[in-house]
Amino acid sequence: MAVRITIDIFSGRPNPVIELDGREARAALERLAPVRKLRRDEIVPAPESVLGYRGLLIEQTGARDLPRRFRYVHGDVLGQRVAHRAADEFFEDFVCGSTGPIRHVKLGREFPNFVRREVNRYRKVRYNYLEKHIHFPPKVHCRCAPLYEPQWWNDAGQKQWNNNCYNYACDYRSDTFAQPGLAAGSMYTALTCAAVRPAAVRDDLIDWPSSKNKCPKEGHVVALVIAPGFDFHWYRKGRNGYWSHKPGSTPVTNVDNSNVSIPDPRTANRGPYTDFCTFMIVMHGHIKIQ
Amino acid sequence: MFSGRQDPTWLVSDRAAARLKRIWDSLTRHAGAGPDAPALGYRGCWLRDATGREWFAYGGVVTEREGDREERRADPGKAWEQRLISSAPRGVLPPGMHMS
Repeated sequence: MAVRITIDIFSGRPNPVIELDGREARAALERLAPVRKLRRDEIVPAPESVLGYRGLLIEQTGARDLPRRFRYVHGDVLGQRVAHRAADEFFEDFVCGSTGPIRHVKLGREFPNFVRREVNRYRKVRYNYLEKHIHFPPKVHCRCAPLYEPQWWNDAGQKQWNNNCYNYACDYRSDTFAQPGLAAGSMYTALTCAAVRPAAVRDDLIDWPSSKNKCPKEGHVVALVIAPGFDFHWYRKGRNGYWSHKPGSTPVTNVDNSNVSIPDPRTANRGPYTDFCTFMIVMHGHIKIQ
Repeated sequence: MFSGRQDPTWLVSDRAAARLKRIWDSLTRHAGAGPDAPALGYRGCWLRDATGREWFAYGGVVTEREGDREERRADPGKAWEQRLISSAPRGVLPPGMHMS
């Protein structure tokens, strides 16, 4: 069980991030639990394109009644399929309290007070903000990406055991534990980025090193990483913008080695797969892997 | 342990199997679940005999499974796990492999 709280407040500097696990994570999720749906007249915009505090971005694993990623603002829990009041309507006060999670952020003694003032100021911003459209749930990020449907792969049988990370990333079940380049008659010859990357290109994946974790207009994006001299591994980006993967014959998962969601494989805990090689595009129907 | 490549697999000799059985017999019962393995990297090792009985070792816990029956034993020194891994013929395991 893990919770990552990003205080969405800065513009130039990286937002402060608080990682919670164990008891602290559990306590936070209890406070964030949705208790009732917001009424129409209670739904107030939570604009993101403003300066200063914009809410708490919560990423979590462990609570089934909450999405993996959502925003908490002034007692409201907002995200995919959720627009509810939280159990603790003053969670921001809790975070900024003297014994709250903000104590893990080393930005000076005045920072918690600064955040509290910003939280209050943002109330006025929300109520004064005029928006033409309110989109709930948030829009799909990668509209061409395959569905995240782990239960299809995780059958504890033929599909799970005979398809690896490369199969899953390409969304291509071959039951051959596919190896890059093999279908093209030229499998990789070394476990390095320099060898595996062109092998995948021979399978008609499209190298996209400049992707910066974006979604392509067509096809879906995958990422290649290497445990030098040992093995390769692939991730794929899903419709909600998050990544998932299938480590060998083990089940498909959408968390990393720290058991947290994967917004970017470059920053995920990848265990021994230390080398990030590249992003690539998989065009459905164009590739062949074996 | 791998994701892209096939995991290393080998036949265990009768002598090695007998040693593993002796180690298993010396272990004490372990209450509760074993530790979770990470998604990537070494995730444990397992042995299956001709009858389909299996043993799985990770993180100091060895689990024996036979049909629906399951029994866990504590192996804090990872003796069983290390013995199984050392039974691999030369060249099967990658050099510098680490059991985490």
